[in-house]
Amino acid sequence: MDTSSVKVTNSFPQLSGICDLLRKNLTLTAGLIIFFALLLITVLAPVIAPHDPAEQDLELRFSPPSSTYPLGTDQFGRCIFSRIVYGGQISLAIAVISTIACVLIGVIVGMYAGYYGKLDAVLMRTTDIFLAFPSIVLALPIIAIVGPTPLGIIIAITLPGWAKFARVIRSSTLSVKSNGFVEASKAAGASDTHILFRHILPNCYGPIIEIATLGLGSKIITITSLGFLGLGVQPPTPEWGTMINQGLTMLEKAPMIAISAGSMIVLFVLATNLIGSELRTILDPRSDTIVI
Amino acid sequence: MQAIVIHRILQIIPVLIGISIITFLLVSLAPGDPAEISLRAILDTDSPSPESISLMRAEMGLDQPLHIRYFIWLSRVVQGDLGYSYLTHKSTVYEILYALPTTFILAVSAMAISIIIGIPLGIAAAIKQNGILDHFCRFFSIIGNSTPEFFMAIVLLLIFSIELKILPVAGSGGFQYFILPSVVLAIGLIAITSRIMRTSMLDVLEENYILTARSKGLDRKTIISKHAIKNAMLPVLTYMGTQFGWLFGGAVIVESIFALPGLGRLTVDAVNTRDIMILQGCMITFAIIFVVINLLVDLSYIYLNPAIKYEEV
Repeated sequence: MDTSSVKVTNSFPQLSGICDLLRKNLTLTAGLIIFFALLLITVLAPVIAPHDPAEQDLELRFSPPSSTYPLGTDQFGRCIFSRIVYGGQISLAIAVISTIACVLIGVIVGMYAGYYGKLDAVLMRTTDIFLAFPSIVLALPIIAIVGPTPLGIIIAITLPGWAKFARVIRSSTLSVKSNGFVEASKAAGASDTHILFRHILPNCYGPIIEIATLGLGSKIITITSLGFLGLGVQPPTPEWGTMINQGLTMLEKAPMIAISAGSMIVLFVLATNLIGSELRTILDPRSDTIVI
Repeated sequence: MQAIVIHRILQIIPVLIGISIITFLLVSLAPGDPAEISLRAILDTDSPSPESISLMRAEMGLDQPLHIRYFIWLSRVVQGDLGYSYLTHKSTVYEILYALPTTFILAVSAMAISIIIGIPLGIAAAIKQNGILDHFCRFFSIIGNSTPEFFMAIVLLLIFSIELKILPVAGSGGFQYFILPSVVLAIGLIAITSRIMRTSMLDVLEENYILTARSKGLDRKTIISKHAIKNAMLPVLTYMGTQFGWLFGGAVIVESIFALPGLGRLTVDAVNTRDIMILQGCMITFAIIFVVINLLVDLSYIYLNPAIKYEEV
C-alpha cells in the first residue's frame, strides 16, 4: 500500500505541498522572501554593516550618501546604513520573545477556557478587560513603572497582547472539540491531557501561526512606536523607532535617517501582513484577506 | 430582545471593575506619592512639609493595606475625584476635559475622511472585481496597514510641510492644524474600511434578492445603487464603530508628533513626567470610551438585526 495515501491531511499543508504552494501563491512567497531577507540582514549585521554603529566621526556630520557611507551620516557622524542594519536586532528580538510569550499564555488560557468551559466566562471577561485599552495606552504606564529596558518593553507588550491570542485559541479549541475524532478519542479512554496536546493543539497550529505572524508585525509597530515616543529602547543603542524619533528633529537637514529607518519597519510589517493574510486565505478560503 | 440588551449592558460591569483594578494597580506601583501630589495642589506649593504629607497619607488611607486602599480609591473615582496633576496643580478631571475635545475632533474627522474615501473605493473595487482599481485597493490597503502612524506622519510632513510648505508642521490653533493628523489616522482606517466594504458588497451581490432584481430586468446600475450598496453598508458601519476606539489609541502617537493638546499627548506627557494622577485618569478615560463605544455598537447591532442570537453578538 502506498503510505502517502494514508497520511492524515489536516487544514495545514504538509511539507511536500509547501513548494507547490509557494510556486502558486506569489504573495506568500514575496512575504516570506522579504521576511527572511530582513531576518538575515539583522542576524548578519556584523558582517554586512560597513562601520561600527556607535563609531562617531564628528568631522563627517550629516554627510551625504557616498561609497563609504551608503546612506550618509547622522548628527554624530555615525554611519546611517550600519545603524539601520543593526537597528533591527533589538526590536526583532523583543518582538519574537513577546510573541512567544503571548502564544504560550494564549495557548494555556485559550485551551483551558475552550476545553473545560469551567472558567470560560471569567477568562473571557478578563480578555475583555485587557482588550479595552489600546495596547499603547497599557504599555505606557508599564514602561513608567519598570523602565524602558528591553525586559520592561517585553512586559509592556506581552501584558496587553496575550488576550487576543487567548481568544483566537479558545475559538479554535471550541471548534476542534466538537469534531468526531475528539469524541472518539474520549470514548477510547484517552486522558484530557492526551486529547488537548495530541488532538486539539496540533489542529490549532494553523490559526496560531497566522495570528503569531500578524502579531509579530503589530508588535514591531508598538515597539518602534514606544521608541519613537522616547519610551522604548534608549539611545545610543540603534533601534528603528528611536532613530525615527531623533530623525524627526532633523527632518529638514537629514531626512534619510527617519526615512530609511521607517522603510525598514514598513518592509518588515508588510512581510508579516502578506504572510499572515495569505495563511488566513489558505486556512479559511471563505474569508477575505483583511489584515486587522 | 430586551433580555439580550440588559445582559449586554450588565456584561460591562465586570469589565469596568477589571479596568479599575488594573489602573489602580499600575498607578500604585508607579513611583510617586499621591498624598504629596495632592498637597502640592491644595497648598499650591512645590515642597509641602513632611508632617503635612504624613497627615495627608493617613487621611487618604495610603497607610492601609492594598485592598482597602483600592476601595478608598474607587469610591473617590466614582465621585469624580481623580486627584491632581503633579505639575500643573490642576485637577485631573479638568485636564482631561480640556484635552478631550481635541482628540474627539481628530477622531471624528479621521472617521469622516475614511468613510468618504474608503466606502466608494470599496464599492468600486467590488463592482469590477480583480480589475485595476481592485488591485490598487488591495495594494493600498496592505501598504496602509503596514505603515505605522508615526512614519506615515513623517512622510506627509516631509511632503506637505517641508517641501511644499502648504501645511503647518505642528501645533494647534486652527482647522489647518488638524488636516495632517486626521489624514494620518484616516489612512490606516481607509485601508480596512475599503476592504470590508468590498467583501460586504461581493457578499450582497451574490444574494437571492439581487438575482431576483436582475431577472426582473433591472439594469446593473440600478441594482447596485438601489439595492446592493444600502445592504452592504450595514456591516461596514458597525465595524467602523468598533474602530472608533482604535482611533483613540492611534491619537496617542499622532498627537505627540503634531503637538496637538489632546488626550493622547496628555498620556505621553504624563508618562514622561511621571504625573501618575493624570496617567490614571487618561487610562480610565481611554478604557471607558472604548467600552462604551463597543456597547453602543453591539446594541445598535442587536437593534438592527432583531433575529440575532445572543452567542453571535
